[in-house]
Amino acid sequence: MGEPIKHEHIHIEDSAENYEEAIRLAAAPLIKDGYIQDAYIDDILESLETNGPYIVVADYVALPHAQPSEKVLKNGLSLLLLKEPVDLKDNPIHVFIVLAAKDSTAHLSSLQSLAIFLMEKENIDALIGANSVPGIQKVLEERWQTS
Amino acid sequence: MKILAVCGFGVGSSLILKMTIDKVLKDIGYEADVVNTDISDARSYQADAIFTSPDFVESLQGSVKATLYPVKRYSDKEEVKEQLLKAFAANEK
Repeated sequence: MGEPIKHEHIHIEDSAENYEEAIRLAAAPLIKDGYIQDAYIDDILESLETNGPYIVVADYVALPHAQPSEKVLKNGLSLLLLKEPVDLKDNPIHVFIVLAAKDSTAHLSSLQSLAIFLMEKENIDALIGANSVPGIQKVLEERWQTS
Repeated sequence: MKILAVCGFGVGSSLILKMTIDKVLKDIGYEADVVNTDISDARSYQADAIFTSPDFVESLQGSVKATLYPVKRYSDKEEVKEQLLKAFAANEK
């Protein structure tokens, strides 16, 4: 198997001004590497306004994504860990995992692995406790099950 | 019993919710058909129960026959289990 999330798509920051900045920071590697267009982020932010914060799939973890469209060029995931949580509509968030999916069946297997990973609170605690990108990678690699 | 897991686009979050429901069903030894879809398709689906966020419960209220069960955290097994037990109890009646 490859890396659960490419190491160049993972980063760590002390804090963010607000959730919008956090989502933009989290998605930056996907924009830089040509996975998504800038406008995809606007779709994510708009969806948060109209659909509410259901992308907060676990305590401290948000999965920002929008509907599949031509703004997604490649399927991928990126991750931002904030050592200090930022508020997302009354939910404190440490981990932002941006999902870029070209269509609704794309990326199924890594999403399934992600779902299994997120169901265990101790996995999330381990992720939040990481202090470096290699530390985050280690947590993911040790605990990520491929189906 | 047929259960719908619903999110905004039927892409990411609803799959996470479906996986959590499937896992809890396995844990408690119950059986159900679980399908994930988006909010607009949810209205045209035949199902016994719909699991979705509190915001979507509000917007679906009145426009679907299925009973709505709010779930705040789509990957929270405890929260999903609580709602599943309610859904099975209601379905037996």
